Amino acid sequence: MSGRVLHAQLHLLDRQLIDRADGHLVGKVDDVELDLDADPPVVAALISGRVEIPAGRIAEVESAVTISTDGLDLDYYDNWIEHHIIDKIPGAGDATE
Amino acid sequence: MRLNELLGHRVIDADGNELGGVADVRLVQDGPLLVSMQRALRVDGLIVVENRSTRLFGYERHVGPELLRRLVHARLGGVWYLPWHEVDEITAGTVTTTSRGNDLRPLEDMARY
Amino acid sequence: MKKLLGVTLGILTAIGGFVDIGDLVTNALVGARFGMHLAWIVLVGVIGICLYAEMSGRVVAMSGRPVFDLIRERLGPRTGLLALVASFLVTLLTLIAEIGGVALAFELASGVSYLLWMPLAALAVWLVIWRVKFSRLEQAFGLLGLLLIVFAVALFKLGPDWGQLLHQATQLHPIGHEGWATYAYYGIALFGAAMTPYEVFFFSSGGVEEKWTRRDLGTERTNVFIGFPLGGLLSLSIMGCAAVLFLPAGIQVGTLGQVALPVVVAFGKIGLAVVLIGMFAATFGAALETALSCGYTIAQYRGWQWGKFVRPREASRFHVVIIVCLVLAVLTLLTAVDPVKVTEYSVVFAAMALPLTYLPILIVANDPDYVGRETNGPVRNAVGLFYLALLTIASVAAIPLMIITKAGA
Repeated sequence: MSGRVLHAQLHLLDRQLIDRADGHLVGKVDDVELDLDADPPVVAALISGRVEIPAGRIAEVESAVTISTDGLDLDYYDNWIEHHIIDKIPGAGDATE
Repeated sequence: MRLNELLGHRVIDADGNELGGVADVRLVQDGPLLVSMQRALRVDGLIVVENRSTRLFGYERHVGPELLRRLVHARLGGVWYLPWHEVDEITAGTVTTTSRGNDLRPLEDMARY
Repeated sequence: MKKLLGVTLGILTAIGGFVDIGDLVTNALVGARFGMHLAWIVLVGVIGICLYAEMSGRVVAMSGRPVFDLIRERLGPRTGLLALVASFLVTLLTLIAEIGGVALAFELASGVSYLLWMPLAALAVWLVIWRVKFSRLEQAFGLLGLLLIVFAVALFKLGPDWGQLLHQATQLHPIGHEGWATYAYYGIALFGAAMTPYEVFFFSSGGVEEKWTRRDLGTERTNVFIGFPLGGLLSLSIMGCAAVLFLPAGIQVGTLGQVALPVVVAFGKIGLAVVLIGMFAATFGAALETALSCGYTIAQYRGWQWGKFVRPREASRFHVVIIVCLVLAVLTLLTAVDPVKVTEYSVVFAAMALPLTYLPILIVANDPDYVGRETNGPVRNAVGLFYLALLTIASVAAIPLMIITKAGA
C-alpha cells in the first residue's frame, strides 16, 4: 500500500494550526521534529512557539493542519492578554450586533 | 533533528563532490500506526537542489505560470530526489550519501501522490 | 436590493483603495495639475486589483486561507516578516491618515478644529470594530461611501467639453511646465493606491468573516467586478471635476475643502452636505478597513485567532493589536502632522510590500491543493505576471522618484 506523499517544508512548515474541537486558530507550524534514528524514520512532532505537538495529535493535513489540543498549552499568551486586558473592557464576551 | 536545521545542509556524494543543498524532505504517510489511528509520516527521502536555496515556492510540483517556473528553476539548477536508504551520515552542516551524483533521479520523475 | 447588499464587501474594500483621504486629495491634485492625462493609470490599476483580488477571493472561498497565511506559507518566516513589516507600516500610516481624515471632514462640517475631533474619531472606529457585526459594518459604510458618486453627477452638471477631456485622456504625457519625473511620480502614486496591499488583506479576510465556501465563488466575483470598477469610477470623477474646474484656472489642490469645491459649485449647499457625508463615510470606512487589516496581518502571520466572527475575548491578541494601532494613530496626529502628507510617505513602504504581497497569491491561485480545479487559466497567469512585473518596476522607481521630485512638489 502506498500512502499519501507530502513535503515537510511545503505542506507542514508555516501552516496554520487549527483546533479540531472548536475550529479556533492556535498558531503556526514553526518547525518539524524529525526522528531520524527511528526505524523507519518519521515525523515525531510539530513545533509551535514553545509547544511541541506530538505527531499522534495531527488529525488532518490540508491547507491548514488540524490538531487535537487537549492538554497542550497553545493559548498561554492569548489567555494572559484575555485575562489582563480584554476581559476588563465591557462587552468582551458578547457576540457583535 | 529539527527540519529547519536540516534544510540547507550540504549534500556530498560518495566521491566527495558537492551535489547541492537540502531543500525539502519527502514524506510518505505509511509509517507505523499512531494513537490517532493514522499512519505516521515516514521520512522517504530528501529533495536536493543544485544551487543552494531552501525555498522552492512549491515549484517542484510544477504548477503555475510557465515563465515564473522557468525563472525559479533557472535559479535552483537541478532538483533531485535522494532516497533515504542512500543517506549515509548526517553531520553538522552536511549530508553524506552512498550514491553518485549522476545516479540521482530528477524530482520530476517522482509520483506526486 | 439584496444583490446590492451582497457586494458591499467589494465596495468598501475599493473605497479604502481608491477614495480614502490620501486618494481624495491625490485624485483632485492630479486632475488640477495634469488634467486627465494620468486617467489611464486608474484604468490599469482597476484591472490589476480586480485580477488579484479575484485570485485572493477564490483562494479564500476554496480553502479558507486569507492572504497573509499564503505569504507566510510561501515566503517563510524571514521574507514573510519583511513583507509583514512593510505592509503593516503602509496600513498603519494609512490608518493614521484616515483618523485624521474623519476628523477633517468633521472640521469642514462644524468649524471646530480637527485636533479635537480626532480622539473621538479613533474611539468611534474602535467601538464599531468592538461591537458591530462585520456584515453590518460593511453595508453601512460601503453604501454611504457611494454618496461620492455625487462627483460623477457634478461633472455632468459642470457641463465640460467631453471631447477635450477624452483627448486629454488619450495623450499619455505631462502638460504645461510639469516634467516627466512628477508625471511618473503621480502615476506610481495612483497605481500604488489602486493596488495597495491592505485591499487584498481586507477583502480575503472579509471573505473568511463572511464564511465564504466554494458555493460563494459567484458572490466573490460579483464583489470584485462591481466593487473595484466603482472605486475607479469615483476616483476618475474626482479627477475629472478638478480637471474641469481647477486646471484652466491654474489652481493647486492641497486640502479636503478644495476637493469638495466642484460639487459645491455644481449643487450649492445640498451638494456640500452630500459630499461631506460621502467623505466621512469613505474615510471612516477606510479607517475601519486599515485598522482591521493591521490586526489581520499580524495575527495571520503569527497564527493567532483573529476576526469578528468570534467574540472579542476569543481573539484577544487581535483586538489588542487594533487598540494599540488606534492609540498610536491618535498620538501621531496630536503632533499636528498633516494627515494628507502622512499617506505620501506610505508610498515608500508600499514599494517593498507590493511584489511580496502579490507573488504568493499568484502562486497559490495555481495550486490545486488550495483551489481544486479552479486554478488560473493561461490568460490570467500571463496578465498576472505582467502586473507582477509592473509592480516590481513601480516599487523600484517609487523611492528615487519621490526624492527627485521632492514628493511631487
